[in-house]
Amino acid sequence: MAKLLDKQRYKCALGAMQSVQAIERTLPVLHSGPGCAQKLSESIGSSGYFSPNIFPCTSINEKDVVFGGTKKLHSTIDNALKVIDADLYIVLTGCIPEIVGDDSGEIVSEFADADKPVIYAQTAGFKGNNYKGHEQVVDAIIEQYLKKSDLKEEGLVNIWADVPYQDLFWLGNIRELENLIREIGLTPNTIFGYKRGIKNIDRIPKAQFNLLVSPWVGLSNMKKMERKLGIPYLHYPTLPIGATETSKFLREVGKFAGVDEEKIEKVIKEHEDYYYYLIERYADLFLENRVINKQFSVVADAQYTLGITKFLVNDLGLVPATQFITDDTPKNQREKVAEEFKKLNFGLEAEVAFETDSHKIHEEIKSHDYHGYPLVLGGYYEKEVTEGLSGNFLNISWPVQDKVVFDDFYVGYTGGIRLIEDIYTVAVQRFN
Amino acid sequence: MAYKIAVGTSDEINVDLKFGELTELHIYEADGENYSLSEIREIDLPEQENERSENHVANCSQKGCGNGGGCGGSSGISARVLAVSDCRCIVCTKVGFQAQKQLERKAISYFDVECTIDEALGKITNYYKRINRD
Repeated sequence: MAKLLDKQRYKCALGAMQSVQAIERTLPVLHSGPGCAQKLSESIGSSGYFSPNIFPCTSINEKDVVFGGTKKLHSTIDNALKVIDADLYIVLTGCIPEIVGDDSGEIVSEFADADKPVIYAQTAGFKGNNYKGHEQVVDAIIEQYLKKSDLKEEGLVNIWADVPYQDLFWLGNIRELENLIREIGLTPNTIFGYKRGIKNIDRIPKAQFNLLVSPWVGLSNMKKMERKLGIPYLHYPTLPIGATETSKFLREVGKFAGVDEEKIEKVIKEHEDYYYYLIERYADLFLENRVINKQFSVVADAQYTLGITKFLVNDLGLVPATQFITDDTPKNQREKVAEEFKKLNFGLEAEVAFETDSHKIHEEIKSHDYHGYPLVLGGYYEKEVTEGLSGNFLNISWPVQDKVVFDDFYVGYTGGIRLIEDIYTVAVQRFN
Repeated sequence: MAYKIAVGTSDEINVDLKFGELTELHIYEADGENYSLSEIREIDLPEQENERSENHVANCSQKGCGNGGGCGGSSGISARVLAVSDCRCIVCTKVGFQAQKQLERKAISYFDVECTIDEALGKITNYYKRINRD
């Protein structure tokens, strides 16, 4: 029997065009039907130097299915190189050309002598969702563009986090991670967002190590870089939100990089002092509102479900109900991710469900006894179900319908404060 | 089930005519992966069509293009589309935008390719066989 998936939280692998869009002056060249890009471009911003409306696309049709679309791909790349001024062109293939067997790699190899680099990533939808697509794009850069460097820059760290645009706070988060790394005396290098782009990609091989801040997305890229470029990596699975996790994060990164402990503790103390000064001032607000939300659930991808669960338990002292991970985490990673939910303060453990079907998630939320009004942090899909339970709802994961985020962030000490502000803004509105 | 494919050719070997140049159609009958020429069909073109190419520019400047016929061109397209209406698809070197739209409305596929008839029909019959419309 056909299986129905209700309200899934991801797109197909071709959705990785978001990741390409996030690298400044890098252009996706789509080898797909015209409808693919149209559907995938929703909610990722359709203006700017490059935006989905101008992505070159082969717009393949029935003829290309029968006769092959490689000629069209060749002319599309050729013309994109002529008329669009980009630093790097990444060809992304959709389902159709891969099903009919177009050899995109061969066509792309014909552009090896072009003035600008052209690479390709196989992002057919049947290969996985846009989290996997993101990995494919980074893989393509590693495999086809980067070369091993004997020159290393002391203290240079490549930072990798979750998927741009899919993660609402991607830009702010990665900038704040950079700031934290900079404060402990290291030099951050990231490729996504404003004023990064190709010059930062070129610096990747010179890094002392890769820092991956994500439960699973990008882990395969780190392994690939270790093999090909000889860059060791530190995998830090928890997105550090709030004081407890961020301090842990800084200590672990510092230890890995060989930074002086005293220096790290000094940075931590300065941040924590201010953090707890703020918390102290509003302690009464937390205590009063504690009555409302004894238990909470997060419905998001692995990074937010894990990061926010740890934050709400460790920093705010809330009790976790079932936490839902909606990103279709690969089966071989699930056990490791679930293990992280057992590492909470106060001897608490959170139950975690890997579930992509929103109907089942909602049924579970409805049937769980939250010992009062639930606090649900999730996608917009959870708004209605939470309201039905008279709970408090905050939209923190895709899809996002009720807020606009430019460069706000939840990561780090400041990010933790922002998240508290957002949660209690919702909570206090109850009484108005 | 057998079905028909229309081909635009001047030499019966290559697909070498544009849709707008067609005055006759080579109709092939296909069944599974087998196909054979079954008919050479004259297209019943309106008279003005024959003069169109010579008077094309003059017509435009005199009458303007707002007469609904688009420089008197659409009747020729209609006649050609009508002529292929019992076929599953038409194979020729180019199909104009107006013709594409009219063919789509009749659910007739078009393949604008430049190759031999055998290559085109081989691929097309294989395609239809695979998508299980036989």
